[in-house]
Amino acid sequence: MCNPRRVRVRATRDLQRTWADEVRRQVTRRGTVAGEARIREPLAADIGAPTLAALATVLERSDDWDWDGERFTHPLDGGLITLDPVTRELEIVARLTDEVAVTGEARQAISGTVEERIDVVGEGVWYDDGYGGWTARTAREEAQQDAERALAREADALVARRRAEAEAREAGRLDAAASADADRAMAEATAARRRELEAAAVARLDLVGVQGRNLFHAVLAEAYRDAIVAYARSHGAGDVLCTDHDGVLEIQFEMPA
Amino acid sequence: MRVRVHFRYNSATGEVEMFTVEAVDADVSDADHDRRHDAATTRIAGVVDRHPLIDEVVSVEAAPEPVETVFPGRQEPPESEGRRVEEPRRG
Repeated sequence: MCNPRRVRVRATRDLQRTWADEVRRQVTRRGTVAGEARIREPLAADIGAPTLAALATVLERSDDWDWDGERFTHPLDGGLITLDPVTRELEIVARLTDEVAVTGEARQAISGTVEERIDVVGEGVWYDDGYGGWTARTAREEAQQDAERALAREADALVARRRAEAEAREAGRLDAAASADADRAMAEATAARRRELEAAAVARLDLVGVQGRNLFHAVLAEAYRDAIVAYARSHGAGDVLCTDHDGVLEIQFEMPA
Repeated sequence: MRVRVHFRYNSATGEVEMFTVEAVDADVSDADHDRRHDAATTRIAGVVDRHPLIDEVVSVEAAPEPVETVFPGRQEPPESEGRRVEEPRRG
């Protein structure tokens, strides 16, 4: 076997190929939806001013109630209770949340015709001594076949490039359309789920309300105690008897009137 | 006049179960006694309630001497004569 010799064949084809495809874009939106139901009770209409003042102090010193600069808040199982010391309003909120995910989609049919001349070179190898049966004749055949394969590859690649270019031209509009579709779907899904959660929250409000009132009654007991004891001592009361057993607060004292 | 105050609040129900203001050394011959007792009761009840309703408990045997003031009055009146303040109350 000696060094291989090569045969090159140049092939040209006038390509005319029509193609058609569909471009799709999908956009997914995810979010949290909450449904709430609430009860508001004005405290100032019923509770005496000294007790209301004491109530704010009780909440301030409590580790269980959070102060966010405007309101005292305590979480509940499935909601929360808040007390606004300015409006003196108690609010109990039943709150349910859920995750919502939707997918928006846009489609566009694209098509085109590629009309271009393709030039390629095919190559074949042979040996002077005909090693392996590779002769000048087989080399020419191989070069011709290689050129045919190269023409086919180049034609496919050219169509793919034109298709990608067409898809890229539509990409922006399709992305925008898919996003808009996702936004619409998200708005609809969110509104529908919110209505369901709100209905469920209304049904749950009694249960959450019991939790909230129990918490409030406990801090109100402290406020009553502080306010009454302070009043008694500032008005000359002697011994002030104050007991708290199983949530029942009793205060007894005598004072001049 | 001295008054004896008895307050009871049940945090399980949110009810003020009792709030009595009893005149313990009242001079019943004092014509101003009732007014002073009412005024004292109103002031003390105002600590816990913005608009307390005052109810007088009067004994049948010893009427009309005011002896006791009760608030809010969910309890049965004491056996002794007096006055009671009553108001449904929730916490």
